[in-house]
Amino acid sequence: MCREDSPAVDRDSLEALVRTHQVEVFTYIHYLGAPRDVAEDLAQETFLVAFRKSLPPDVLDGSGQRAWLRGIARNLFLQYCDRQRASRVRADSESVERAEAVWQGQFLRDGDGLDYIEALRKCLEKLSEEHQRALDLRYAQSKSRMEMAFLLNMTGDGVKSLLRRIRAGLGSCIRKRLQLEVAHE
Amino acid sequence: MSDEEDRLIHVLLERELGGLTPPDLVGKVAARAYPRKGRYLWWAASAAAVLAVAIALMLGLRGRYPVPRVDGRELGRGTVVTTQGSAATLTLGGYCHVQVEPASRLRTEGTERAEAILLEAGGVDCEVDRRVGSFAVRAGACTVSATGTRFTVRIPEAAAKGVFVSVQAGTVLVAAPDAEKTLRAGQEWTWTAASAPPEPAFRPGERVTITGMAGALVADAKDPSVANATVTVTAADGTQVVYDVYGWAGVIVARQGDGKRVEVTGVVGGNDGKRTITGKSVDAKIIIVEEKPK
Repeated sequence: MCREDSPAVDRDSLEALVRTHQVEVFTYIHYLGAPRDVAEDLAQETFLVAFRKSLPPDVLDGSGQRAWLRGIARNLFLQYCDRQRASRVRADSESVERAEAVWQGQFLRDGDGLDYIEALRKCLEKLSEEHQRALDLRYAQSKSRMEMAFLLNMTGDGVKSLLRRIRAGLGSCIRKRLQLEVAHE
Repeated sequence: MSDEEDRLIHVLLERELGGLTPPDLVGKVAARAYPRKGRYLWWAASAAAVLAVAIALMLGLRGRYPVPRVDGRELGRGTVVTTQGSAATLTLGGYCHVQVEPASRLRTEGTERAEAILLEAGGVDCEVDRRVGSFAVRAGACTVSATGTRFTVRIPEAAAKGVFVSVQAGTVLVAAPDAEKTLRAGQEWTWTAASAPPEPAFRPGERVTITGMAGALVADAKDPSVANATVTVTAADGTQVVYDVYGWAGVIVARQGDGKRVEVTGVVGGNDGKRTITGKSVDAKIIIVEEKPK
């Protein structure tokens, strides 16, 4: 992956770029649908592509750099999906663009996503004990769907739809909170 | 709810509840971008062996990590250095050489191979061998982290709330409450606080119950040592606030971009004393622990 000609950014700048954006780039690729190990590889590739390219002059600010890196990440993810036709990871340019629209329009909202995370945390506190337990089993204890089904006395499909329902409730709560706060501002 | 939104919340829950932190890619990317050439391996191995012997000899001669020195005199950590009519030379860890300008005041901070100073007035010219360790200058509300080699930080007299940074070689990362900027060789930047008189980040002694403000995760309340504890947070301006810790959501102390970037020197749990947790927007260090009465 190394280049033979002179790099567009020096090593210090590359390290600073990675340090600043690695969390978002990795999370974004994972969000697009890549498993964590693949997301890590593609995130590395994203920065290496950035390393080989000259930074466009209009993306010197933080949000511009983030959008530029996400664009590289999307292309790499689509190339990965093309190579993995037998894989369960499916994506096309339309679905990836829809994902980008949600990331930019709902998560970042001209910021860095912290408002969204803050709203998510507040909404989590308001969940019923039953729903908190389900999320705890799934996300904190990493229980499989079948283990959860046994522990919650449900079917596997029931667990799946319960988790989906909880996430939908969280999404609704987050939207409400963010709109309320926008209205207050 | 769309599949994309469902997926977004799923990924965030993995991070928030599952503690799945993204991997650190800095070293991996740099190693792939700047690979070592195979034909140099033998020479590199030889050089490394020679270096190891040299280091062993040096360690044998020196015996320990170099103590901070100003103009050759030993200093303790946390010492305040004040210059009046003439400059002084401060050396930290043997790899940070700081020229302290006349009429300056600073305090030595940091730890071995992670040296730092708090610049309270005046200016410093810094030269750092980053292969040995990291170095940061805190000045006002800004933190200047050296990822390169030579730079200047100055608090202009005319703008007591401003910070001037100039880079002569390499790169530095400047973190201000409202911005983060990477400066390269030949670049300079002056950060100025908002024109309105800044309010203290926190009222001294203010007691706040945290239910999930965005920003730095200070304590994970899934850790039983954290439950029913309080956290004392010290802001960059020295004001302090005490937080209750409860629930699995943890304690979130700084909201990025609202001017309340904090350095946490807080407290948890009562037993283990010190831990460092990296938050989303700041590095948080937990130092003291107090049990909240039940």
